[in-house]
Amino acid sequence: MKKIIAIFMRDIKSNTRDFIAMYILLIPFIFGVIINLLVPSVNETTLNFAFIEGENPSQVEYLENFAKITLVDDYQALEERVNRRDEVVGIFNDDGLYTILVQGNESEQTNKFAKALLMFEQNDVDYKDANANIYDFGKTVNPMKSLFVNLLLLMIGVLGGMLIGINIVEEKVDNTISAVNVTPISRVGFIIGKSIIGLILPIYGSFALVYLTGFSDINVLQLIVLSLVGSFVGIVVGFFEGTKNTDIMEVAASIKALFIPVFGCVAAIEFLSDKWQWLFYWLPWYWVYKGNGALLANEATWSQIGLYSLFIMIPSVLVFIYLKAGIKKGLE
Amino acid sequence: MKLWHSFLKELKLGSKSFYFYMELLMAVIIIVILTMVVPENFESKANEYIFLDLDSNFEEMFIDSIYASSDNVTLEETILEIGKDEFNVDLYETDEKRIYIFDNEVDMKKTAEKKKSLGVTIKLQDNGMFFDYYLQGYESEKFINIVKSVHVLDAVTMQAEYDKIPVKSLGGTQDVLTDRENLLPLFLYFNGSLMGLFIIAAYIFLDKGEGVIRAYAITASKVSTYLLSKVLLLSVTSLVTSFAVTFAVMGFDFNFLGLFILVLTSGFFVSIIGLILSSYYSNIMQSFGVLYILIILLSLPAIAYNIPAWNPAWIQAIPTHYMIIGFKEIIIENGDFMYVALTSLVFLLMSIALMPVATYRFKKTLTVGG
Amino acid sequence: MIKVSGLKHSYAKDGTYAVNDISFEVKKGEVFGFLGPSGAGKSTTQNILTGLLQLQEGQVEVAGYDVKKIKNNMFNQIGMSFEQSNVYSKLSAKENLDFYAKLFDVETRDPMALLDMVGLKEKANDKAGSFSKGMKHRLTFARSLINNPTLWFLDEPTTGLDPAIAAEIKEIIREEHKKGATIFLTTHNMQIADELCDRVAFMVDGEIKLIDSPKNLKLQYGDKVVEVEYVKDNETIKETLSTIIVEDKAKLKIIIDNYEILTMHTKEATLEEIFITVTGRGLV
Repeated sequence: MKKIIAIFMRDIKSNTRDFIAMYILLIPFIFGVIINLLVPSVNETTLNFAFIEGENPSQVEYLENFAKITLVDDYQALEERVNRRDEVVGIFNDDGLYTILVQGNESEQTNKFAKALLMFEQNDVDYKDANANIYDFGKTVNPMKSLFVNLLLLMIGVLGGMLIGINIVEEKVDNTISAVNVTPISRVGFIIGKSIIGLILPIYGSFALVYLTGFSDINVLQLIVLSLVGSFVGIVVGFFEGTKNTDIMEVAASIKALFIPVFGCVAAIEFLSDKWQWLFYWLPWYWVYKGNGALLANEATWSQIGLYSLFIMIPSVLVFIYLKAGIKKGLE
Repeated sequence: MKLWHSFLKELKLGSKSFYFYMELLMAVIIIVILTMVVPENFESKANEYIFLDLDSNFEEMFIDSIYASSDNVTLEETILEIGKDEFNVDLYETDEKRIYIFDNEVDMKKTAEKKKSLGVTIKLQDNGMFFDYYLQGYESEKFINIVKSVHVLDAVTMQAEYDKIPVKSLGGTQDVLTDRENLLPLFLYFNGSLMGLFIIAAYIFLDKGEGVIRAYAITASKVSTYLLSKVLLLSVTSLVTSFAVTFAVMGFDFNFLGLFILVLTSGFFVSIIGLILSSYYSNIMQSFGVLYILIILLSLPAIAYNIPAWNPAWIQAIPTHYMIIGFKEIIIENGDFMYVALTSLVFLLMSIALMPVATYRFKKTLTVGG
Repeated sequence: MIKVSGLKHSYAKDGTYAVNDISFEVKKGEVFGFLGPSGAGKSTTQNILTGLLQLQEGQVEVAGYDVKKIKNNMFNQIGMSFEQSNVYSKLSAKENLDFYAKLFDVETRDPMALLDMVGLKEKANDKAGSFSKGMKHRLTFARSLINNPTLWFLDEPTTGLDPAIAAEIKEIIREEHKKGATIFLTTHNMQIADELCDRVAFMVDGEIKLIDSPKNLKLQYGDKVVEVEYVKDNETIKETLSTIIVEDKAKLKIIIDNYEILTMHTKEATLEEIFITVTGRGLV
C-alpha cells in the first residue's frame, strides 16, 4: 500500500510541479463559469431586431418584450446591420408602412417569427389580454444547461484517462518504468498507483462542476456511482493508450481518435432518432452520458443507474481483461 | 531549400508514425458516419400535445383549423408510449408538426412534461376558446410573452393582418443546406483547424523529448524553418482529410480554392498559437491543461453556428467564429468567396505577425525540458 | 576561435549565477578542456557559446561571430556532439545524417564514411530507435562532423562507451585535431582531458579557478609521491608519502627498514588530484 501511495504521490507531486493539478482544480470552475454565463444568454434568445433610432420609440419599447433590440443611426446603417452574418431582422418605416427588412438568407422560421411580432405590434396586441394561462412543471433547469454540464462531465472523465495515457508514455520515454520494474512493487500495484489520479481528479471535477452550475439537489450517491464507473472507463482507456503507444505523437493520435466515439455518443443521444440508438449501445460513454442526463434531470432511478453502470462496466472490464497481459507487457 | 528538406523529413517521420495513419482512418470513419449514419435531414417536426375540453362544435372547428393549416394532413389513431405508460391519442400530422390529441388532461400533461414539449388544454370560456399552456418552467419571459400574444386576436384576423406585413429582401439567397451538410463546417473547423493546436504541441514535445530541437538549433537552418516545416506537415494532413470528407458529403459542389486557402491559413494560425503555447512548457503534461481549456473555449462559436440568433460580441471575438462561417460559405451555393478570401488573409497575416513570437520563444527556451 | 569576457548567466535572475564572471580564450587549432563537477556551469557556458542559451551579460565571440547577434553562417563552422544523444529514432542512421547534412550551406561529408568511421556502417539502414545507448552516442558524434566543423564542441564524448570504442573516439578526435580543428571539450573525465587537451580550465560553482596545460599543472601542483603497501602487526597497510617532504622521507626509510614491503610505486599526481587540491572539490 505504501508503494502504491508513493507512485500516486509522485504523480501528484510531478503534476503539482507541472501545474496539472492546478489546471484540473481550475478546469471544473472554468467550465462552470462558462456554462453559468452562456446558458442564460442563449436561453433569452428569441429573435434579434434592428431599428433606426428615434423612428418609433414606442415600437421599440413594445418589441423589447419579445426580442433583442439593436438601434442604428439611419437606414443605411440598418441595411449594413441586417447584411451582417448573424440573423438580425430590420424594421423600418417605408413611406408610412412598417416593413420587415431581411438579408434574404434567413430561415423561413425567422421570417415568419419577425412578421408575426411586427403584426402584434401593429395591432396593439397586449399579451396581458391573452385568452391564455401559462402554467409550468416547475423545471428551472434549461435542458441546454443540462446538455452542457453533461458534456463537460464526460470531458472531465475522458481527461482523467488522457492524463494516465500521457503519464505512462512519458515514463516509458524517460525510461522510469524500467526503474520501477526492478522494485518490489508488483505490476498490479503500479497500475493501481497510476489509476488513482484518474479516479480522484474526475470525481472531484464532477462534484465541483455540478455544484457550481447549480445542480445541488441531485442524488449525491448516484453521482458518486456514475463518476466512479465513468472514471473506470477513463482509466481503462488511459492504460490502453499508455501501453499501446510508444511516443507522444501516438498518444496524441489516440486522444484525437477518442473524440469520435465520445462525441458520437452525445450526438446520437441528442440528435439521432430512436431507430439508430442501438448502434451506440456498445460504447460505455453512451451510458455515462445517458446516466448523467437522467441524474441531472433528477429522473434517475437506482435500477437505471445500476443497469447503466453494468453497461458501462461490462465492455470496460472486458477490454481491461483483454488488455491485461498487454498492459503488463506494455509497462516494460 | 532547407524548408523543403525539413518538410520532407517531417513527411518521412510522419509517414512512419501511427499518427499519420490514424488521421486518415479517422477521416474514413467520419465519412462513413456522415454519409451512412447521419440522416440527410434531422427530424424537424415539432410535437404538440393537446387536450380538447370543448363541445363538439368547437372541437370540430379546431380540427378543421388543423386541416386548413396545411395541404398534407393525415390522421392516425395510435398508442403513444411514454416510458412504461401507453396513451391513446389521435395523431394529426401536417407538413410542420405532429399534433397529438389526448382524451384526458392528465395524460397530456404527463406526456408534455416527459417529452419536454409544449402541452395545451383548449377549453371554452366566455363563449370562446381559452388556452391553458403547460411549459416546462425554464422558458424565458420573452418566449412566454410570445406564446400569450398568439391568443389575443382571433385566428382569421391574425392571418389577415399577418399577410399585410411587407417584407423587403436585400437580395441574399437562402443557404439551403441539408442537416448533414450543415455539420460539415463543424467537422472542418474542429478536425482541420482546432485540433492543430494540440497536435503541433505534441509534435514539438516529441522532438523536445528526443532532443532533436537542440541539434537543429546549431545548424545553419533557422529555428523558424524548423517550426514552419512542422506547420506544413500539419497542413498537409488537414488538407487531405478536409478535402476527403468534403468530397464525400458535397461531391464537387463546393469551392475548392476557398477550402484550400481557409484550411491552410486557419490551420497555420492555430498551429502558431500551439507553437507559442508549447514553448512555455517542458512537456505535454504541463501544457495539457491549458490546451484543453483553450480548445473548449475555441469550440464555443459552434453554439452560435447552431443558434444563428445568438451572436454576442464576445463570441465574435473568438477567431474560430470566422472559421466556421468561412467553411459554411465554401459549401453553400453562391457562397461569399470574398469573405473566405478576406478571412484567410486575416489568418495569414496574424500568423505571419505571430511567427516571430514563436521563433523568439523557441530560441529562448531551447535548453528547457527534453 | 573563442573569446569570452565577463560572462555571467543567471537562471533564476535573483542574483545567483550559474556562470559568474568568467573569461577565457581558445586559440585556433587548440584542444581546450572545460573540466568540473556536475552543476559547475560547464553546460551553461557551452550552451551560450553555441547559441542554445541567450547571452545575458558579458562578451562572447565564437568563430569570429558575436553571439549576441548570431548569424546562421556561424553554424556552418561549428559542430556539436551532445552528451545526450538526440537523433530521430524513427529515421535510420543514414537518414539522420542525410537530413542533417542538408541543413548546412557548406560542403558536407559522406554520411557512409562517417558511419564507417564510428563503426556503424553495417547499421546504416537500421532505425536509430533500435540502437543501444552507445550506438546512438556514436551516431550523434558522427553527425557532429557532417559539416567539417572548424570549431568542434564535444560534450562528454566517451561517456557510456566501452574502452575499445572510447579509444576509437579519442583517435578520431586526435585526427580531427591534426587536421586543424579547434576543439572545445567539456567533461568531468580527467583522464580524457589529460590525454587530449592542450589546455584545461577548472570550473567550480560557476567560476573558473584556473586555466593551464595539464603538463604545467602537474609540474606546478603535482607532488612527487610514493605509494607503499606493507605488513605491520599482521595487517596490510597502504600509505602515500611525499618524496619531497622531510618527515615523509624519514617515515619511508623506517618502513623500508622495518617492515615487509608488498608493493611500492612512484606516482605522478593526476589531474583529478590536482583539481581537488586546487578547487577543494571532487568531480562528483
